[in-house]
Parts: sequence; C-alpha cells; structure tokens
Amino acid sequence: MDFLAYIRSYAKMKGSPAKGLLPFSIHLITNFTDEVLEKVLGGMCLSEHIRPAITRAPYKQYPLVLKDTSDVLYKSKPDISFIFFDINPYQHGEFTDSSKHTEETLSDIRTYCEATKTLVVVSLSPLPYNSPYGHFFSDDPLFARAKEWNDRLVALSKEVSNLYVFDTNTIVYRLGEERVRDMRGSYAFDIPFTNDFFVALCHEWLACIRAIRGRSRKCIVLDLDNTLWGGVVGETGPLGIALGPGYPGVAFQNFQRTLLRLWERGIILAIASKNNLADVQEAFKKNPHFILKEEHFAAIRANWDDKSITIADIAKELNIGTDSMVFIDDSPLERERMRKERPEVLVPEFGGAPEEYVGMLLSLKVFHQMSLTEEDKKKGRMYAEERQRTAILKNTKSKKEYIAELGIRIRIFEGLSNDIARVSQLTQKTNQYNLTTKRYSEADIRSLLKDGWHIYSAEVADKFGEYGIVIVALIAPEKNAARLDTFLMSCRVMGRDVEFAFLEYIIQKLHTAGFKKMTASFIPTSKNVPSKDFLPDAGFVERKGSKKGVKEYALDIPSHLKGKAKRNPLLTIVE
Amino acid sequence: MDTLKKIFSSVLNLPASSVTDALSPETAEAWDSLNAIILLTEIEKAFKVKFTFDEAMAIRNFGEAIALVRSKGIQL
Repeated sequence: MDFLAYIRSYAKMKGSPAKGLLPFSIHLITNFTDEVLEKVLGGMCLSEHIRPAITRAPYKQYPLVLKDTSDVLYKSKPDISFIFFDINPYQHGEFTDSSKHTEETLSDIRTYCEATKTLVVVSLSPLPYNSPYGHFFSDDPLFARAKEWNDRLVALSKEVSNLYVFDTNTIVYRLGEERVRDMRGSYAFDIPFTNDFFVALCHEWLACIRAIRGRSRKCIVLDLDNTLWGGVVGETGPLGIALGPGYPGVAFQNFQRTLLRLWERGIILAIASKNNLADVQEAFKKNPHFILKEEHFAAIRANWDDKSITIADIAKELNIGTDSMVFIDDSPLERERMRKERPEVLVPEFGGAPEEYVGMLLSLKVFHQMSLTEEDKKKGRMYAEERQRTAILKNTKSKKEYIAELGIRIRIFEGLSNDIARVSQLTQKTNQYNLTTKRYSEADIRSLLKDGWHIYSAEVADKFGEYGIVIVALIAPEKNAARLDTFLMSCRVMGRDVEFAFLEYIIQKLHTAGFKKMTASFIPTSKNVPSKDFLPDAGFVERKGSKKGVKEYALDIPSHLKGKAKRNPLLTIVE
Repeated sequence: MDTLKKIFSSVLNLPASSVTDALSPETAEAWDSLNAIILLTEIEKAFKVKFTFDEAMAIRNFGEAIALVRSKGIQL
C-alpha cells in the first residue's frame, strides 16, 4: 500500500464496524501539525487489521498537556504513545533558543512515562545537513543544541524503562534530507516533512506495535536455489552453485550472514526447497563457502511436495503457527501459490539481483522485539538442536542407544549452591513431570533450607547443547525417613532417564547421611500423568493405606543400594 | 488524467466518478485546508512538478487543478 491508500482507508474507517480488528489506542504528541501523520499511522494500522484510536495532543500545546496530570493524555492509558519533536535545523526555535526548554521537556517526558506506565516511543529529530559553519558542525550552536536534545533523549531512555528511542536519522540516511524535509510545508503549514517521510516513520512505529502485540514473525522459511545460493544445485552440483568470493557468490554469502545474525538473536530458520535431499545435504557438506550450516536450521525439507503443504508440516513439527512465518522464495509462482493457500504466511516480493536480498529482508521490519532475554536469543539454536536430536532418534534402534548417542551430562547442585530463583520458578511452572505439584516461592525455598531440608537441582547438557537447570528434588528429613516432598523435571528433558540418574545420586547421598528409608507420594492432577510411574519404576514400593487417589510409597535404602544398577552408566554425573 | 483523479478520489474519499471539473471545496465536504495541502503535495510528487505557493493556493476546483498541471508542460 502507498500513502494515498493509507489515508483513504483511514478516512473510510470512521463509521465502519470494527469487526475482526484488534482495538489499539495510541497517543500522538508532536510539535508540528500532525494530522497527516495521524492519517498515515491510522491507515497503516488498518492495513494490519488493527483498529486504531488515536488521541493527538492539541497543536503546540504539548508543554501544557504534558504538565497537566488531569489531561486526557494522563487519564487514558494508551497501548502505545509516540512522541516526536522536530527541531528546524535552519532557524532558532524553542529547543534551540536556550537549554531551558530542553530541560523542561525532558522532565515532562519523564513525568508522563512514569505516570502512564505505558510504552512510550520517542523519535529523535533529524539533524541538519547544511550549516553556516560548513560541515564541521561542532561549532554551530544550533546543530549542537539539536544534537544535545537527541543525546539527552537517548540518555533518558536508559533511565526510564518504558521509554524507547527511534532515530529518525536512519530514514534520512536512506531517503536523503531532500526527500524528508519540506521547507515550504514547514513555513506555510507547520508540516515540516514530506508524505514519504511520514510513511517511512510509520513503518518503523508499526514494528513496535507488532512487537508488543506478539505479531512479530518467529520463523523464516527459505527456498534454496537462487535464494540461499545462485544457480540450481541439482544441475551444477555442490561446487557449481554461486556462493563464495566474487560476484554474485559473495552477495549470497552476505544474505546468509544476515540470516545468521537473525538466528543469533532468536529467529528460527527452516528450508522448504524443491530439490533432492541428497543434493542439498551434499552441498552443505562439500561446499566450503556456506555461512549457514545444516545445524542452523530447525527443519530441512527438500522434496517435490507443494510448498504450502511443506510449510504447514514444518509449523506443526516446530509447534508454531504458520501466521508467525515468513516465506522467502525467488520464484513468483511459488510466492503466488503460497499467498493463495496460506494467506497468513508473510510472503514478501523477493528475487532479482542478490545484492538487494539483505535490504529486502530487513526492510520487512517484522522481526522486532522490544527486549530480548537470554532465553529469547537461544531460541533459534534450541529449535535447531532439537532437529538433530530427532534425527538421532530416527536412526537409532533403542532408547538406550539414543541416550548413549546424546552424551548427556548432569551437574548436580546441593543446598546453598542451588539457584534458588530457578528452583522456585520450576516448582511454580512445572505441571507434567511433577509428583506432588507443590508451589514454593523463593522465600519458601530459603526457609526450607534453614529447616534442614535437602535440596537438589541439576543442570543437564548433551552434545548438542545445554538445557539449563531442569530437575529439582526437595527432601524433608523426618524421624525415621527422608521424605521426598517434591520431585519434578522440565518436559524438555523427558525420556532421557535423567530423573533416574538424579534420584540414584540423591539416594546415595541420603545413605551417607545415615538415612535408612525414603518415603514419597504421588498426588495425581489433570496434568501429571507422565510422572505417575516414576516411583515404582525407580524401585519404590507402594504402601497400604493410600487415600483419595494419593499414592504413598517407600524405599528401603540399604537393600536398594545392594540391588540393581546404582546409576545409569550411560549418563555422566559431573560433581 | 487517471493519476490526477485517483489522487482526488483517495484524498477526498470519493468514488472516481464524482471527480469532475466542478468538484470544489464547496461541493466536497472533505476538501478542507489540510486535505488541500495533501492534494498539493501528492500532485507535485506524482507529476514531479513544483508549484509556487500562490499557484497552489489559487486552485478553486478540479478543473483548475488540471489546468495548473498542464501549465507545467504535463500531458493529461
């Protein structure tokens, strides 16, 4: 869609039903005539099935309304707020006359952020291109003030957690000042920017809206021939494709490098290619110029199926929605078919000159997140590791073989060496593999430690990667026995016998501490069926007198230790 | 001509058929001062021409807009 389409669709919105659209409220606070900006922003929201309710600060009244906590801008908490103060680079105005206005406005923005607690995106002012001082701007007081305003906003955003900064200069870099600033508009109507600029600005703002509404895309599904490399591998062989030094191979390499950077920040990569799988695998193995390796992909599908079926199959395997996927293919036919069959998949125009690929991908602006946790960054990696594990499972005959092949390592923490926050978190969110489903806060765990409870947790890793701390046991010392109060494990490591090795280790420790008997119970819930056989499988004997579905168990420690294998020899315990 | 009509019908949210020479701020409710600015900037962008401020402000109906674009050597 273009500028005209956006403003027309926004004009049509008034009086039309909101059916099927996501309601979304926006505050718009600027220091210029911003009706055109409102129209573009509104139309762009509609193009993404969002029905915007935009409240603008009255023209030139931002210094008043930002100070008035009884104003509507304070009373209605919007879903997002966009603040944008432009500084005219060629004449003095309120921001450049003295630093007083800057200080005051910064303080007003802080108050507004803290009071509304909403997500506030403040856009930096475009900086001037020309100056009476020439291109060595540092001496130009006007330029220095404008730059100081931008710098102070960035500094403020580091102090105020709900304030984010967008630098409009990135748009100037792309379009050039001449296509951004409209001097006639500025002086005649106080509209200092071109319509093209407003469209570019709203594209950036929309990326924020997508991110906070969970509409950013998670997974890129890629074609191979003439997408990830040049040429057709089935015809030219693994070394004949264009990939590597020199044009156009280097452009394809750089496209791969960009995909790798997205993967490193958590975007899942997958392949849907019409090729022989053997040719594809050979290319990855034999061609030394790949930036992306097989291990970066969560799914590799090379077959002759319809890609709209392949993509649904990949989504199902990864347990994500097709509406979180982007399909990248240089073939107009494939793109057209995908759009028709799976309209929820984002299918951008793609192809032509490979040097344009990086720009085409990044200009989509659909991968934004407002913040990234360490867990988010690992996502691409974790999905890809899972594929390799599944591949082993397919090729090995027995579970024993599979476990041996994985090379599982378990590192056990005891008492104060535990990560208390993680232990508490696991008691609160583990439902499936959990014998008693008792929830404990961090403070609870600390007081249990004080009361002399034996607390164990373990970190698990295998040759493909780390799972982190995924298993916990809380043991209450009682007069005649050690009572297994809590035993739980994250479903990420189910089916690998980790729980048995972990328990055997604990039994050994309890034995050393002088315990002769261990008791345990299983409290059934609607979700913990996967753990119902754990106790009998581990050697516990059910006791008589179990009531209300709760099963009571006991284990005689000395005779257990004399009996069968103490530990699963296939798992390594790191002490 | 289609381009020019499309600009007026989009900005003023009218069907293309009602964009006639007589279309003016008096007959089109949406033709307010703000939309007049949008019309001006979009016409300039579409035809890669620039009007002086006075030329632009003198436009009183669609017919005069056609004449002004033509006066810049554009075939409509």
